[in-house]
Parts: sequence; C-alpha cells; structure tokens
Amino acid sequence: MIAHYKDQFDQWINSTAQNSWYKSLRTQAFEAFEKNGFPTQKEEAWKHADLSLFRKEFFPALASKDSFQKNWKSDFEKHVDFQKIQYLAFWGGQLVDQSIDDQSALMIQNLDQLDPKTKIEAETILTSFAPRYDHPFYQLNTAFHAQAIWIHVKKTQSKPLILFYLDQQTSKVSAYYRNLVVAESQVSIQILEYFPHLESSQVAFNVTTQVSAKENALVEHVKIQDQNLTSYHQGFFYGLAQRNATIKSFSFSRGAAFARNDVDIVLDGIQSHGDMFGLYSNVDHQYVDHRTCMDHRVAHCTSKELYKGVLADQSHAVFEGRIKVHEGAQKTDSQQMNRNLLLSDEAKVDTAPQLEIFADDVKCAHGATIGKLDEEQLFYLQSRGIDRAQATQLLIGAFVGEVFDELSLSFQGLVRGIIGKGWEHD
Amino acid sequence: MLEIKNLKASVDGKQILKGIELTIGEGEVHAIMGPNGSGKSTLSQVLAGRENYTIDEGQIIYKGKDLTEFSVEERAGEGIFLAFQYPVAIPGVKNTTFLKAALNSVRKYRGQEELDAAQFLRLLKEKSELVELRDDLLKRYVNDGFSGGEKKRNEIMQMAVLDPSFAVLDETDSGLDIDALKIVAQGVNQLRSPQRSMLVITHYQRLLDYIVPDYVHVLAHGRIIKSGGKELARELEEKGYGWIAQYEQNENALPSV
Repeated sequence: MIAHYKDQFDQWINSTAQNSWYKSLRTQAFEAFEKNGFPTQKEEAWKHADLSLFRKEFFPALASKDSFQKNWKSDFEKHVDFQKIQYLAFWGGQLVDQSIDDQSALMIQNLDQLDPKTKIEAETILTSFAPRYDHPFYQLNTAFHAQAIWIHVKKTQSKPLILFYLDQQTSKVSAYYRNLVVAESQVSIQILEYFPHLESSQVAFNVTTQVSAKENALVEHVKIQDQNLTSYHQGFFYGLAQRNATIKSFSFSRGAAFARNDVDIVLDGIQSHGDMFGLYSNVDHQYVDHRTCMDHRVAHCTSKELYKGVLADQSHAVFEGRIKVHEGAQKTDSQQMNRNLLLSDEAKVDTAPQLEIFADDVKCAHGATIGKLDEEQLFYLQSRGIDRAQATQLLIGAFVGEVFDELSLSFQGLVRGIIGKGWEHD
Repeated sequence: MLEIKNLKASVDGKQILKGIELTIGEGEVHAIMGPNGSGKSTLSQVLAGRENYTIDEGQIIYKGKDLTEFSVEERAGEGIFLAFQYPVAIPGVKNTTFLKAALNSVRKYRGQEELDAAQFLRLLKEKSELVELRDDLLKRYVNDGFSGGEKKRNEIMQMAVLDPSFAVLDETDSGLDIDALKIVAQGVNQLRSPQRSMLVITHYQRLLDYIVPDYVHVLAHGRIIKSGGKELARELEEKGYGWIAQYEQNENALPSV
C-alpha cells in the first residue's frame, strides 16, 4: 500500500513548481511516513485505533476542482445566514470559493503567493510548533497538502469565518488541507471549521490547522465534524498563545466511521490562557479518538479542558488528555475533565488523563468519569408524563449543554444552529 | 376514585407491603401516618409506577382501570401525581423546559391541544403565584441548588400545572420550617376540589394541622392497622408510635379495617 502513496508522491512532487525549502519539508515528511507506514495496535499511541483499513486500502489524494458545485451554498442556507458570516470553501484539496469583507483586515492567501518577509513567518509557523512528526496522518498531510492557506487576522472580526469542507466522493480518497492562522496582537476572531454530513461520501479528510495568537489576541476555534458514517477524519489543531493571548478550541465530533483528532495548545507567553472543549456523540460502530495536549511552557498561564462523550450502540471513544508543565512554568493553573455517558452496554470508552509536571508551584486538576443515565432523574421526568425517549433526550441535552455553554454568546446561535437538534434541546 | 385491594409489593425480594386495603373517594383527602420503615414511601412509589418494586399480589383500581397496567408516564397522563419526598435535581434542564415538556405530554395523552410558549408562560405565572415561587427559580435548572422549601414548593407548583385527579404527597413536610410549611399547605389547600383526591403521607401530625384530612390511616409493617377521622392524627401524636409494637407479637391479631 505504501508503494501507491510513493508513486503518487513522486509524481506530484516532480510535477509542481515548488521552492526547494517546501520540497524538502514534504520529502522529509514522506520519507518518515514511508519508513513506518501505518502503525499497528502494538504501538502504545495507537493501541486503541485499528488502522488495518488504511493498511489495506489506498486513499489517493484529491487534486482537482472538477465537479465542484458553484451553487453549494443553497444546501446550508437553512442554518447559516451568509450575510452574517465570512467564509472559505474547499473542494478537491483547494480553496474554491470565498467571501471576505475586507482583505486588508482579514487577508486570505495561498502560502506560495506571500511576499518574501511574510513567507518566512509562515514557514516558521508551518514547522515550529507541530510536535506530531511521528504521526503517520500528519506526515501525509505535510507531504500531500496541495495548498497552505494563510489566514492573517489584522483587525478584530465581528463576523465569524466559516471554513466549509465540501468534498463528496463515493470512492475512498483523501482530501488534504492545511491552514495557518495568525492573529495579530489585540485582535479577536471566531473561526468555525465545518465538515458537513454528505450522503454516501467516502472521503478521508486530513486537515491541519495551526493558530498563532500574538499578544492579547483572542482566537475562538470551533470544529464541527458531522460527516456521514462511511467517511473518515484525521484532524490536527495546533495553537500557540503568546503573552496574555487566549486560544479557545472546541471540537464537536459525531461523524465518520473513524475519526482521530489531535488538539494541542502551547502556552508560550506569560499569562496566556488555553481552553479545550469537546463533545463526541457516537452511534453504530463509530470510532472517535481525541488526543489533547495542553503545554504550559512558561509561568502564570491558565488552562481549562472539558471533553464530554455520549456513546450509543457499539461505538468506541478514546480520550487521552495530557497536561505538560515545563520547568519554570510556576503558578500554572490547569484543569482537565473528561465525562462520558454510556447509552448501551456495548458502547466503550477508554480515557486516560496524563500529567507531566516539572515545576513545583502549580495547580493541576484532572479527572474522568464514565456513567449511565441516572434512573432517579428518568423516573422523576417520567412521573411527570414525559415518555422515556423524551426524558432520555432531555438528560442528554443537559449533559452536553455544559459544553455549548462555554461558547461565547455571540457564537452560540450559529454553532447550535449548524449542529441542530440532535445533540441537545432547549 | 382509587381502590387498593390486598396489595402486596416487594423490593429486592423483600416484601414491604403486606396486604394494603384502602378506598379513597372522589374529592377526599386521606392521610397515611406511620413510623419509619412501615412502607409509606414504598406505597407512594408503587402508586407512581416505580419499576424496582414488584407487585406480588392484589390490585390498584383507579377510575375503574387496573393502574398496574400503565407505565409511569401513562399514569401521569391518567391523572396520577406524586409529590416526591426528595425531589431529584436535574442540572442542565431548565425548570420551564421541563414543565412545558411535562404539561404538553399529559395534555397530548388527555387528547388536549398542546400549549404554545405564550400560553404556557401565562399558565406558569398563575400557578407559581399559588406557592409564591420566585421567577428566577423557574429559569433555573430543575431543583438544582434549591432549598428544601423551594423544592417542595416546586413540587406543588408542578401539581398545579399538571392538574391531576389523584395526588400523593410523600412526606411533603420533611425538611420544611414552619413558614415554608404554611405556604406549601396553603398551595395544597387551594388545589383541593371535589374532583381531586389526595393521599397525604407523613410521619408527623404537624402537617395535618394545615392540610386537614377527611380520613387518617395508620400504616405499620406493610398494613393499615387502624383507620379513623382527623382526630386519630392527634391521638397518634400524643401516644407516639410505641403502641404499634403490640401488633408485632401476633400478626393475626391485626384489627380488620
């Protein structure tokens, strides 16, 4: 199988005009992938994830704008008021449509087209804080992404930016995307990456988004992964917060047969703050895996993490949350919690909080729970005439509501509208 | 309205109710008193349809129908209401969301039209005044962070909203100070009507000073051992429950009701 990837890589690296720096970055990544391929479950980091499908079947990279539907927006108008948002739309590994109010305040560019000075900054970001070099899907992303999109936030954005990933293919293919977000100091932005439910699609999305928040910047990032159950998802979110900056990351994941999300936030400037919130809701035989790392590099930083899961049928979720506190990162205040609700006896969750602390004056709390619906609460609701199905929905809504409540008020309506009624009721 | 015949019920293989006989007429208020462990709460849970309890024998006839054939939520639709001794908190579910879902569920069951948001809020305002429940408690999560008194008032307000024809008040006085007790009792009294029957379960006579029953029954060891008028409550208060011990010696000596 690796040979197919190699053929495609050789063909594409030689066919495109790329500078040598970029070429060597890609080649290094591919060589690393070629060496180890897709790991088996004998490897600790992959012990829960069955990658046999990826070992057996070749997912060629999409690289064509063909058959992109220009009227794609009509499918989303029910939940999204396009007057109130800015957007980028992706298809075939490329940025195919966009609407940005003011390019001088929010600049969108292909990395290749940047001026030399900005390009250096971009290249630094591309390589400096992505610690998952040993991750096969990350290696493939680095090797195969056709475009890296530079999203430069120069002024505070009152309208959120939505990234629509629209690929819909009925054969097994990979769609690689790469985004670099730089928020200048003092600015704030809300970004939503949306992977909609597209019938009978078998696309494997492989998307890396890196966010650099400069001094006092605020970046609120939401990912809604709602793919259909014959598709796949590999996602990477890397945030770097400088002095007094805040990065809030939300992952709403209920789609795909197999989904693996890596979320890392590096707190690199004093008094910076990181939030990670997540919700996964699995049915059928879904496998959803979140690996998070809150990396406290310097003193006086705070972080909060809450991931919640609702697991039905024979679904399986994995949560591995790491808090790293470096030597010298004194006065760190970090909280992490993972809660899971099992709706069936066959659903399964593996949860592992991990602390690596090398400073002595810190506050770190973590915990994990796995439980079922509370029979006392169900009985109470039923005794008031509410049938068991509706009572169950109310309790699930209550359980997941805590994560929605963490969104900024101005973002809640949009996110709830897109996610719809399936997750919670109000 | 309600007729309980030779009701025997168990939990975890242990029989708690050992042959309850009780008939409650339309519009009547009956009180059941008894010491701890006599089966008072079991009776209320069995009436509401709690699944952990097994009915071994006997019948519960409600408005001519066998109540045991109805699920918990169907009983609510049929007009049974249980005011809980310990109302459970449900963080994340707003009181108003819960009440609207409940009301529209029972209305649907009763073949009535569901209320829209405006109609519902009007009704809620009217009913919450009955027990002097503050507006902010309606917007809060169900019973979450409520004081003992607020929880019980919330129960009575739900009763007012759902308009049952038979209500069981399970130790509604427990955990209430005298002021809260008066407010709760006042709310209950306003809900008394010739079409609504009530079963008031309590350990102490105190509550019955405020909710005056038509009949009083003494429950011990899973059976009703004595019945009488409201004066029986006062008699019990004076004598305590110690005299019941004599019935333990010889179960055959239990008086017929």
